[in-house]
This record gives sequence, structure tokens and C-alpha cells, in this order.
Amino acid sequence: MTDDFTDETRSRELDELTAALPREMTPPAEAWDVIGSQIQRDGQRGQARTARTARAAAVWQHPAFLAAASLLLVAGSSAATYTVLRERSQPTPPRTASAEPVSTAVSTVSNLSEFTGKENEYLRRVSGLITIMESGDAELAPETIAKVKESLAVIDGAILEARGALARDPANRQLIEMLEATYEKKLDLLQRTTAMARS
Amino acid sequence: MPTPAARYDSSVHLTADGEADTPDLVELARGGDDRAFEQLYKAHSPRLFALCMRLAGGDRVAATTLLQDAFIAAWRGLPHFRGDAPFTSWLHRLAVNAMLQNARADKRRSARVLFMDDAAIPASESRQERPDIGMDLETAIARLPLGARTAFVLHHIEGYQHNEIADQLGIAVGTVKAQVHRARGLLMASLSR
Repeated sequence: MTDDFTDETRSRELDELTAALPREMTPPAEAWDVIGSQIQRDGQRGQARTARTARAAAVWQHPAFLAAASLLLVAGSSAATYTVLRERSQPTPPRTASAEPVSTAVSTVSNLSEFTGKENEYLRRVSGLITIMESGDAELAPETIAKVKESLAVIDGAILEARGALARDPANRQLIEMLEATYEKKLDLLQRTTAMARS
Repeated sequence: MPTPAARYDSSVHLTADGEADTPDLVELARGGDDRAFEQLYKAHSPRLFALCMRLAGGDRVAATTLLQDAFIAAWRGLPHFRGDAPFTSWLHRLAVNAMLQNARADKRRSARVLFMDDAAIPASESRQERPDIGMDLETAIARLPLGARTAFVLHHIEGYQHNEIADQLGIAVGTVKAQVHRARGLLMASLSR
């Protein structure tokens, strides 16, 4: 009887919380640029292009845009790292036991096809570290967590842009290295944050 | 205050609740009017992005990719859109299709987000075996196995019936019900911590 009552209460609570979830979220500002560029390029409809290829039409027409994204990335993640370090007053934070070494930015792959496998590995490691970070939120100041998440958003923006550019120019080694470096930056930030949360 | 659609074209009608009259914009876009399509994007992208975020388990990069795939597919598919279903429902279907295609296209990634075969999800990913505390509902939903998460999001948040979800995903109605039930159980367990 008590269990039934508890389940009913939890079920009702779940329904209430679900009903209160936001139905709308603002997408990244650059999301339309990719779509708009593609439909411009499509010209006449019916061309047999895949949606994945569509991202090739990203706004990366101008190298200066890439440079700007890089600067934002470095500035953002550096600020977060500084905040994390300042909080714990440790100049060189230890890495987590599960953390894997960050590789150099020199790419070992030469095209988008080869990079796909490596990207999956990045995604797996990022996913694991984010889980660790979230489980350790309570051990870091809210200000620090906010700064880290803000930086992650900047990095994600850079990743999106780089992927779009790479789809358009799959053999561009510089873009591959840029994308790898961006993923490494994200991993590094997450590794430092999780290390701080555990120390 | 006029909606973006109204600013773009004074002939665009507004409904009683102030929303842009999508059918007019759809017709314009169907005729190749990319400005009309951009207005459709502005009107529908926040709602669709929320769906994409939840389908992607909170991964903003993946969610943005789904959103882009869905709208590009919509642009290309507009000549075949007959208007039998609301434009919003059609967009939702395209987003779900994009998710399924991405998962199937990349086996390694699909291992992470494999669809209805939740038996393949490692037990350690079950909420009942994770020590996390203080999770909010959004986070708890993001951590559900993909099959359960998709069924829960489409049914409880987006309001689709079980048979509509089954049709959309190409699975049995019973499977949808089981996934929704499983999702509720996992979420209630996480909320009780």
C-alpha cells in the first residue's frame, strides 16, 4: 500500500516536472548560416546531395572567421582553466586516473574520412569526462562550473564550424589539425576540471 | 509586436495566438522563396532544437547537426510535402529520421546511441546503478538509453501517441509502450535519490 502510494506520488511528480520543461531552446546563431548557405548552393532543388554533405556549405568561406573562432576558443577555455586553477591554488593540477594523455596537435590523419574514426574516440572520451564533471559539480564553486560550461559552449561552436569547413574541404590538413586541436582543448579543459573536482 | 513573418510579408496572416500562419510561408518556400524558408526556420527552430537537444542527450554539437539536417531535408523535401500533417510534425519526423540516419551511418557512434536495442546499453549506464545525486530532470532524461529517451521525449514532452511514435520509428507499438514505461521507471528512480 505504501509502495503503491509512493509510486503514485513519484509518477505524479514526474508528470508535473515533465510538463514544466521548456518546449523551446535557442539554437546556436550560426546554425542558420550553414542551412542558408546550403540552400543557396542547391540552387535548383532535387540535387542528390546528402544532408551530411550539406554542412560543407558552412560559413567558412573566409579564413579570418576560423582565426576568430580559434582566438575565442583559446581565450574562453584559458579563462575557465585559470578559474579552476585559482580556486584550488594549484599551478599544475593532477589529471584524473582515467584521463588519457592529450596528444599533440599534429594530425596523423589526412582527410575527413580518416578523421571520422578518431572523432568518435574524442566523442567517447568527452562524454565520459562530462559525466565525471557533472557528478563532481558539488565540489566546485558554481562560478567555476558556470565558467567551464561557458567555455565548453565556445569550444562546441568552434567544433561545429570546423566540421562544416572540413566537410567542404575534406582534404584540408590544416582544418583537420584545427579540429583535432579544438577537441584536445576540450578534453584538456574537462580533464583539468574533473581533476580539480576530485582533488 | 509583429512576428518576423509578418515583418517579411504583410500578406502573412496571424493566428489568434499571434503565431505566423505557417501554411502561407510553406507555400512561399515551396515555390523556392528562401526568405520565406528562413522565416519558417525562425518560427520553428526553437521548438525543434529543444527536441534535437533531448534526442541528442544534451549534446549541443550533435543537436545542432540534427537541426541542420532536418531543415536542409525540409527544404529539399518541400515539393513533396502535401500538408497532410502539420508542418511542425513533419519537421519533427525529419529530425528523428536524421538522428536514425546518423546512428546507422556510423557504427561506432551508433554503439553509443544505438536505438531500440537497449539490451546493448551497458548496465553501468543504467540510472539505477549510478551514484549520481541531485540530477535535474533534463539531465536524467539525457542519460536515459536512447530508445527509452526517444520514446519518452516524443510521448511525454512532444505529445505523440504510441502508434504515431511506432510509425515514425518503424517499431511495434508494444515496444514503444515498453520503452516509455522503462523510461518512467528510470526517471522516477533518479528523482527519488
